[in-house]
Amino acid sequence: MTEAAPAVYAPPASSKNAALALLRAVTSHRLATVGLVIIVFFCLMAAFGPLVIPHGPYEQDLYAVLSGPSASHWLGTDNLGRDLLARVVYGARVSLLFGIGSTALSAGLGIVIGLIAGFRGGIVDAVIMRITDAFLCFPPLIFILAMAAALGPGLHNVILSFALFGWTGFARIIRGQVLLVRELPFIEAARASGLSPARIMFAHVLPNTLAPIIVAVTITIGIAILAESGVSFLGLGVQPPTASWGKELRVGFTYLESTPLISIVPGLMITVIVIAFNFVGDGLRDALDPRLKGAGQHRE
Amino acid sequence: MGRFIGVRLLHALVILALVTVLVFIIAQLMPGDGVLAAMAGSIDMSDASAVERVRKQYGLDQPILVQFGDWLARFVTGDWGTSIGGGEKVYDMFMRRLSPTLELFLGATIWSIGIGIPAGIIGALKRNSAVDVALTTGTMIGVSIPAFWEAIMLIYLLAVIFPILPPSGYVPFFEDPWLNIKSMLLPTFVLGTHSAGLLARYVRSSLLEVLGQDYIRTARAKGFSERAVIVLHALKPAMIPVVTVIGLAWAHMLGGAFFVEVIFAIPGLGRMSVDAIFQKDFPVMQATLIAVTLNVLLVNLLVDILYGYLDPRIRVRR
Repeated sequence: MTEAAPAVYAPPASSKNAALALLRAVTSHRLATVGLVIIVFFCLMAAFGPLVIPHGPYEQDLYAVLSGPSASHWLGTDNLGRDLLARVVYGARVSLLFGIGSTALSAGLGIVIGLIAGFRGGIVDAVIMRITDAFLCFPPLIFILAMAAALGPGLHNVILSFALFGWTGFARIIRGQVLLVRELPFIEAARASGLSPARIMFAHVLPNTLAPIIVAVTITIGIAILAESGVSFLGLGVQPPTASWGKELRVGFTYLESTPLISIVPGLMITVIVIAFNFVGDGLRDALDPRLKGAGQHRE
Repeated sequence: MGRFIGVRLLHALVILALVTVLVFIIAQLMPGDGVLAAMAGSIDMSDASAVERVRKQYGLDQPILVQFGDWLARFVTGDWGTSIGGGEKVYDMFMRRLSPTLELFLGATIWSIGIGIPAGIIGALKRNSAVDVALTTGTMIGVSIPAFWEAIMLIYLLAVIFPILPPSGYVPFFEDPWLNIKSMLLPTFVLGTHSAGLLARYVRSSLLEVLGQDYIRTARAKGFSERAVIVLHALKPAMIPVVTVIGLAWAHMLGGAFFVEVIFAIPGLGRMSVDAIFQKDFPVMQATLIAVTLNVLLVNLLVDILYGYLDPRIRVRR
C-alpha cells in the first residue's frame, strides 16, 4: 500500500469564514458549481417535493398498474399501482438521509480514532494502523452485506455496518494530518502553557486537520448513497413499503420490457446525485490541496 | 529486495490473522446459533437434550476461543464446512464457482485497461481541450454509475430494443466459445466500467505530472520529437501508479460481481455469496470473505513487489 505524504492545509480563521471560503472554493470550480446546484436541487426535492406532487408514495391506483406516463401519473406507476414520481421523490429522502447519516457516523468514528492514533503514537498508533490496514483489505460492500445478513435487513443496520467499515479512511487521513500538525510551534506552545492533551487534540489539532476531511466527507456521501442503493437493490436494505431508488430499480428490472421507465428514472437519480457529490469533492480538493493546484491560481 | 518482500509478507500475515478474527466475530453476531437455526427443521427444538446433543456435536458448548481455534484449524486444512443450504462441501462449491468469476474478472480487466489507459493518455496530451472535457465527464460517469443500473440499461438497449446480445445466461467457454464470448461481453464491460474510469483519471494526472518534470524539458531541449518524448520518456514512469489502480480494481471486483452475476445470471462466486447471505449460510459466507481477503492481500503484495521493481526509489527508501 502506498501512502502519499499529506500536506498541511491552510487553517480556517473562524468557522463562519471557513464556511464562506468553502463556498468560494466550490463556486470557483465550474463542475463543482454544477454539482452543488444539483445537490441543492435534490435536497429541496426531498424536503418540499411531497408538498407539490399529487400522490403519496404508498397510494395504490389499482386501475393503473404498470401504466406509462399519463396526466395523473407523470412518470407512470409501478407494479402495485404506486405513482413512480412520488416513489422517486420519497426515495431521495432515504438516499440523502442515509448518505449524510452514515457518513457523519463514519467520519466521527474515524476522526476520534485517527486523532488518538496520531497524537498518542507508539504502540497505540501501530495497532490502530494495522487494524485499518485489515479493514481496507476487503471490499466494503461484501462486509456490509454480510453484516446486514448477520444483524438482519433494515436501513439502520446498513448505516451501522457502513460506519463500521467507513471510518478507516477518515482515521488514516486525520492521523497523517495530526503527525504533521503535532510538530508545529503552536502546538508546542499549547503544550507548554499546560493545556490537557484532550484540549490540545480537539481545540487545536483538530481544526487544523479538517480541510482534507471535508473533501473525504463529500466523496464518502456519494459512495454511501451508491452503497445504500446497491444493498436495497439486492433486498437487504430498506424494507417494503418504504421507497428507495435501489429497490424501485429492482422492481423495474422485472418489468424492463413493458415499463422501462421504472428502471430508467431511479437509476438516473442515483447516478446524477453521485456524480454531483464527486464533482463537488473534486472541486474542493483542487481548491484546498495546494499541491494539486497551479501556484499562480492559488488564492487564500 | 528480499528484505522488502519479507516485511510485506509479514504485514500480510498479520492482516490475514486479524481478518479471520473479524470473520469469526461476524458469525458470532448472528442472533442464535447458526447451526441450530439450520437444524431447526430436523430436530425437535423443545427437546432440550436433543438440542444439547447437536450443540455438542458441533462444538458449540466449547469456550469461544476453543471454537475459534477449531474453526481456524479446519479452515487451514481445506475443510471449509458444509453448506447449510445445499449440504454440499463448501470447498467443492467454491472451486466449481471460481472459473466463471475469474473469466468475468479477466474480461473486465481487459475492458478497463483497453479503455482507461488510452482515454487517460489522450486526456493528458490534449489537456483542457473539448476532447479532454468530454473524456473527463465520461470517466466521471464511469466511476459514479451504479453497476446494476448500467447493466439493466445495457440489457434494455442491446438485448431488448436491439436484440444483438443475449440478455443473460452463462455457457462455459469450452462448451461453446462463441456463445460464451457473446454472453460475457456485457457483464465484463459493466464490471470493468468503474476501474476504466478510475484508470483514466489516474493515467491522466500521472502523465500530466511526469510531463511537468525537468527531464522531460531536457529531452525536448535536446531536440527529441514530441512523440519520442512521450513514448520514450514520459509513458513508462507515468504507468507506475497504474499498477496500483489495476491491483485495486482486481481486489474490489467481487463487490461488483455481486450485482453483475445476479443480473446476468452467471453461476459464479458473486451469486453464490448473495445466495449465502439470503440463506444465512455462514460456512459459505466465511469462506467467501476469507477468500476475498486473501485475494486482496495477494494482489496488494504483488503490486508492492512490482512497484519496488518498477520504481527503484521505493526499494531504497524502505
